Amino acid sequence: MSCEYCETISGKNESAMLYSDDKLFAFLSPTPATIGHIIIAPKTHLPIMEALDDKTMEHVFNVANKISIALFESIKCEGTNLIVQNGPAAGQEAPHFSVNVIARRGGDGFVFDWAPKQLSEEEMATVELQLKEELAKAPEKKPEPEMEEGKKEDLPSEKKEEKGEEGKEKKEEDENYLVKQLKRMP
Amino acid sequence: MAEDNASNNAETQKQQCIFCKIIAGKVASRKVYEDDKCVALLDINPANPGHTLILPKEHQTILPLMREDEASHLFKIAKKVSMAQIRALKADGTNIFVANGAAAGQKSPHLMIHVIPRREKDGITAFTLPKNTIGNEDQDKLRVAIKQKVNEHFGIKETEHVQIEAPKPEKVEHIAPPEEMSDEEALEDTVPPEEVMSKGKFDLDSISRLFGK
Repeated sequence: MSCEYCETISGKNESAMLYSDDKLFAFLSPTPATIGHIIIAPKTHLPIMEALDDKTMEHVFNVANKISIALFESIKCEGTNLIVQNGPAAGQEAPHFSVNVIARRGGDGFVFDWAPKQLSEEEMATVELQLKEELAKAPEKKPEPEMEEGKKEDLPSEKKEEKGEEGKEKKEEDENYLVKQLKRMP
Repeated sequence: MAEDNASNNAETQKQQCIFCKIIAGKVASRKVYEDDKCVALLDINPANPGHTLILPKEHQTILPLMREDEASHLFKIAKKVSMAQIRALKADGTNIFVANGAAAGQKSPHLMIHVIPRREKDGITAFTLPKNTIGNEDQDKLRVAIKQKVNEHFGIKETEHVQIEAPKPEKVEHIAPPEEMSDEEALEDTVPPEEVMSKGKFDLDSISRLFGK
């Protein structure tokens, strides 16, 4: 079975690659939802989120978050979405778990909206109980031995916090030029 | 001063935040999970029955402003909730959705992760991502620009310095004037200085080399 993400890891689509480490990789979507759409996927072929251990899950989203910050700073987007399609019923296409990070700008014409369903009190209460019971019996996370490995790649947290706001103001000259270029894209 | 304003605003925002009131127990909600860092509540306007919101207990606005360990904890719980939806509600799949910023569709100032149980043909189209095409050249520019920042955040130093609007290599080779060329000839051969300046991407060294020095 061929998996397009596994092919990307094996280097067939190097031109889109943004980041990789021992656990995962991040690359530009070949069919972007907006300009600045990045896919993050574990290197191991895991079909859905439930197949990820907690540590990998955390790592994938830490990377997703850093990439989201990088999008704010590099292409001056005004917002980002993180989206997981977990299972074909949820829109998943590639049989390989991934997180989408999507750069957003006001008026980009792209809306995530759903029609709210009106449930009766009884229906809500039933669902609440079902979930509560299931979550209560789920085992607590066991301490995982290789914690340090993931931490190594982490930035000192103070750096991250400043970047969020301050980074946006800087480099306006260089990047304005770039943003203009980007806006011309189809 | 600006900081004071910002922190005052943040304080007001926090006091008015409905989700902070829910978390504090001042407003009723349907809590399905709680630990020391976060709560999981049923959305009162669900996309599907069982639509759950995971919120940090502390008022946070967007993920990029959160501490890494706190943010990743939320996703660990999101996975747990997703598994519970699949098991207990017999969902066929789940969507995880986060909006950072109003431009991304964020409606509440309190950060939340949506976990939405899905069923085959449930009619929800919001998470079907549009597919656009992008030219190779544009894709390259985009990648270079984003990669530079990504590298910064991961502390990656690349040997080759990324120059977004660097001149073509052939031109650079002409820059160091061969001995037999006069200064004028060398100048003619290079990129006009104005053009270089307007791109604002050169260091002093390369500029002075353009002037034949």
